[in-house]
Amino acid sequence: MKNLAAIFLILAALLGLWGAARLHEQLWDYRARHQLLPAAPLENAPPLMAFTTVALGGFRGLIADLLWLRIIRLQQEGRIFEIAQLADWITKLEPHFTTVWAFQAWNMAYNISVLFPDAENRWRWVNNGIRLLRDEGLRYNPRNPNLYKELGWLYQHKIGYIMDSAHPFYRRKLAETMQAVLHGARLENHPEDTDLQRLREELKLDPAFMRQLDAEYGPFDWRLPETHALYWAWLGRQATPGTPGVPGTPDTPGVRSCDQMMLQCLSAAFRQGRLDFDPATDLYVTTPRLDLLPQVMKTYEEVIARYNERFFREIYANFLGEAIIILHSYGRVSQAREIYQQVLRRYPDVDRTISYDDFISANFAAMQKNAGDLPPPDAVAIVEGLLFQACRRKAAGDLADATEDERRARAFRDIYMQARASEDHRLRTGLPELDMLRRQAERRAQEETNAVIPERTAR
Amino acid sequence: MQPQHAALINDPTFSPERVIRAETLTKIFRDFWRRPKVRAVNAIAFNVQAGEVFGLLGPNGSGKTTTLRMILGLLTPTHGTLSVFGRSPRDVESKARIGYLPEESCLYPYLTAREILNFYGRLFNLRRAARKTCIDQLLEMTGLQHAQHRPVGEFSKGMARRVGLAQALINDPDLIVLDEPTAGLDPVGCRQVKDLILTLARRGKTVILSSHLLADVEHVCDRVAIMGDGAILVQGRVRDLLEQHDRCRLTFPTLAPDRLEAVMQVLRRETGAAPVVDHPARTLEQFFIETVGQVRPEPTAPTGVAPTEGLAEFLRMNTKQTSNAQHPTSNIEQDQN
Amino acid sequence: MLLKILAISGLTLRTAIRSRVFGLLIAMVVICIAGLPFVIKSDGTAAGQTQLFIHYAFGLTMTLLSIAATWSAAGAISLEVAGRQMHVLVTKPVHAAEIWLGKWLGLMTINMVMLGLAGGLIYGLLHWNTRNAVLSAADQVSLREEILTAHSLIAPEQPIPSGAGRTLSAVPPGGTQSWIFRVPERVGPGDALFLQFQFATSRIERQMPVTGLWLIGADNSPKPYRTLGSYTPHVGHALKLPPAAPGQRLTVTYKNVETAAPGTPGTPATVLFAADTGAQLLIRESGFESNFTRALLLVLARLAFFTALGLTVGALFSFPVAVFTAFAFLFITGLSGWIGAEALMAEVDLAPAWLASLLNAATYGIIQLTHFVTPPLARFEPLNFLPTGAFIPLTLVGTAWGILALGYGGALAVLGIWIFSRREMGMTTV
Repeated sequence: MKNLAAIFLILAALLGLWGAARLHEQLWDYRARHQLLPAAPLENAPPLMAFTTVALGGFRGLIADLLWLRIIRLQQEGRIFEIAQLADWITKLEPHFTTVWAFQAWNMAYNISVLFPDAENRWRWVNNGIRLLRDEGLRYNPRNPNLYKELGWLYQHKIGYIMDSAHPFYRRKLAETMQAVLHGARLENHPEDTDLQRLREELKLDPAFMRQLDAEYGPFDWRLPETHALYWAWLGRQATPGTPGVPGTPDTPGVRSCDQMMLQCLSAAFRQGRLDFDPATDLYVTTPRLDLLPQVMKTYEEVIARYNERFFREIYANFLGEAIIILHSYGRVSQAREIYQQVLRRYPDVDRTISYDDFISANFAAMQKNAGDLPPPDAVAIVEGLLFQACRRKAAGDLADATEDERRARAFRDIYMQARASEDHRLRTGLPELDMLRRQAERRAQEETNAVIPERTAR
Repeated sequence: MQPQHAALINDPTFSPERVIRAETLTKIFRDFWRRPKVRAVNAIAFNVQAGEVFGLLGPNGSGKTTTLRMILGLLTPTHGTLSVFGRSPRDVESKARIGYLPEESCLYPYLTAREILNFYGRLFNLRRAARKTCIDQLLEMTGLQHAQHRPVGEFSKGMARRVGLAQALINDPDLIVLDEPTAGLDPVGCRQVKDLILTLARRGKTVILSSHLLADVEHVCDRVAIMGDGAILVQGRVRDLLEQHDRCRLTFPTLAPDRLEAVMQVLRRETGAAPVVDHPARTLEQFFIETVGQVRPEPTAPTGVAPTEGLAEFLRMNTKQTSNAQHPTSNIEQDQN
Repeated sequence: MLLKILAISGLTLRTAIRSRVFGLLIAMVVICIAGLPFVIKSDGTAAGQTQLFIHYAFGLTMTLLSIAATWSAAGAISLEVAGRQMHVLVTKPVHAAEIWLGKWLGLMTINMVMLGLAGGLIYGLLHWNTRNAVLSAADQVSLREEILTAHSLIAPEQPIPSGAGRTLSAVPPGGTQSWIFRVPERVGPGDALFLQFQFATSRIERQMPVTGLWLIGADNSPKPYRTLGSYTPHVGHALKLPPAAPGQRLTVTYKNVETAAPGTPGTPATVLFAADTGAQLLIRESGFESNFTRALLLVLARLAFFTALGLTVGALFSFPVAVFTAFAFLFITGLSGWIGAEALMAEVDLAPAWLASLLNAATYGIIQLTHFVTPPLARFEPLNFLPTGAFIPLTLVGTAWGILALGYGGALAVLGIWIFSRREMGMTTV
């Protein structure tokens, strides 16, 4: 009788457990459906972490809050040695909160790095930020486009942009790392296994995706931060919640940001996608990739078609204006004119009374007037473009015009540099020496004479 | 309502003969809100004279242990007066003259028997050499020499009681408080403890013990108080309480039936009543000890039977001879025969 | 009296060792500390790794030992009362004070041994982690100079004129600001000397670095030492100075070399130095080892307090209640340094004004009382010093012992002894 009761109780307990488990699954579904975060249990998490997040339950938010407060206090006191550890814990306590990952990575790369006066230490913190997102954040949130965008942002803006006086150092460090793996600008056709392994494990870059990206939009120089930003944005717009492999629609959260970042990176690749890098002589010069223009324009068209937003049309107009100036300075006047006509056709509010030549001269004048605010890649493009034309003219025997182009290039560079009086400003946005740019221009001219067929079709 | 700490005042009426004096002694246990919950001891009065063995008798929950705890200063009386050696039971100085064996062995389980005795010895400021002598003798007396280096946590209940007894005697106390001294002991052990109590009493020690085993009390106590429901129901000398003064008992060797009948006739004539004849029986305890004694002549087994014939040397030396001539030992022996 | 105290403390010690509490605790501390280097994630530098290790290993030791000290102290009396050993003990001629002090002494001996072991382990691991095979010579030198040392700050002899309530000194672009320091006699000839400075700027961008030139001139050398750098505001910077002789005067000058140029983003910044923390001289005060020892003594002072706390609540309550009470008290102590009265103020729109002011008065009173009752543990926090190589003066150790052990510990002892001497035992009869 007693045994019977025991058996009955055990059965009842098992039934209860089974029922609870069933309900639990339904609850997950319900939470996922109504987007009550965090819905899904952690995937790929080590057992300790999975256990902690489950065991702490609702308290983990509280603990994360306390740790966060501690980070703020330590940061104010300049005691930063503990911050990487605390950020690690916070993100692991709240592995599904994108903002937590994004904030901690951004904090390291932007706020903590600048606490150090030297570039080496700053670079370490930028890298800590990148690693937090790339190695950890994406591992637990592989379908969150926002995180991809945040990671791309660190490459595009922190390393690529001129905000930080140490950004030239960051650019060189990234280029060094990539050169060591790729032995050049891009993935070879038959790379070494060790290199592939380093790409996958250390840099978290998938060679197959790299090739796919190169084929679709490129090819790119993988030593440039903009290429990395493009890679992650491109992955992000495909890695959306739902069915794997199905790209997100414009209304998927984060996808729009990824699209926008792709446009920015592609524009940058056109503007400064050609890199001459030699760590031995500290050479690092970026110049335009004129051959990328068709792909960039095509992508703009696609995005505009997808979103049908005024915003994208406007940034496209800006890009086209910039492209016209750059093409013009390299002497590709017919191509530039054709684009100008396109702009007039597409944008009805553009003043039609302004001729192509007026547009060019007005822009040149404005750039010289506001040289202090002119972005370095545009300045490089104009100076190198003029030097490139000088080369071609010299080769054609037109010495007088060549000298005039050369003079204009020098004058433009002088104006640009004069607008940068402070040490810091020069450090961040200074142009390479004229001789260095001339060598770039000569090489470019040489290449164009050699390659009758454009680079893109030669690929 | 505050308890009257009358007991904490020194007793002006103290005389050397009166070791414990209790008057209208009351203990009320209160609950968390200080409301009276249990009246454990209810206005009892008794005295214990020096050299006397005094027994507190009663069923479980009658207030024996509470009374002992008040005597030891573990509990404070709610009302009434209680003095030990003429002082408050909480007085630290007079505790040097007291030995206490608690109802349950409350020993430090990780310490060995010798370490425990050594620890208590140090609390009495015994010098190292004196301490060693005392401990050696007590271990021998309680038959624990073979187990002295084992942690007492591993001891059987009986062995633990022996350690408890040894620690109660380490300071050669004048007053020995024994709470259920024979609890947990086998009959042989019980007998030894009872013999020890008697020996101690003979040496002039004052003993107060509580028990619900009537045989214990009957055999060793000079005087008893029977408690029930917190009150003393009756108290007095054991013999006075038990003897039937209107009746007599003759003991003689068994006679042939005809000769016995002759004696009976004389008795019938003299008393005018019919006398009762039977064979005196030994107590079961006596029988048990005799039987076990044949099997186990020497007390060397691990459970250890103490050679209680001899009291520990230091207890013997310091014995203060008392003038108490009426020691109950002889009475008990006569009763048994 | 002393003999009895020693007997009781010896018993406490013996019980702790035999009951394997001691061994278990040692194992726990060893596992935690030795495993720490595999778990922590520092910023990747030798200095960061070392600082993080010191911080976490020391903090972990402190936490574990504090919990263990409080826990075992809470049980030292209460468990013996429950196990009735105390019933026998109090029938012996011992005063409550002797029992309390004996227990405290015994537990403190355990604490001391544990702390010594943990300290030795941390020190040993620190050596092991910074040995020649792991770190370059240069890293080792900078570690020795910056972290594995004990340095203190020296205020300038001639500080910023701080009359009329001036607490800030502004250095406009092109301007300069000077301080005069006297190198103390106690500075050794080979000791590294640092200038520690911190400033704010007139910029809106809080963390945008500014360029500045430091000129350091000694009174007998004609050519000042110059160094140009870009420094982030609101952060403490340490500038290594050339060696200086003890007793020498150093003139330290900051020149604001921010230049104004039209059209440059970010206007040239005016730099603001605080009168007290603007610029200070960082000198080596003692070796790391002696600082480490003083840090351990600070921890021991805490443990003395925790032990006293545990014993006293253990004298008052049963074990579970005692543990709960002790930890609740410690929790409140931890919070009282953190939650200000303002944080708990009731808002007027939530309640009528009179009720709000009444509530606020009560809150304020409670907070004040809490501050008064709880010990100032944060003031003697060794983690505020040790990981950054800051010097722990012996006076601080003395104050810690005076306040935590003697003051709060003594008050707890008096309370505990008083309670214990009045405590009744064996309320439940069997």
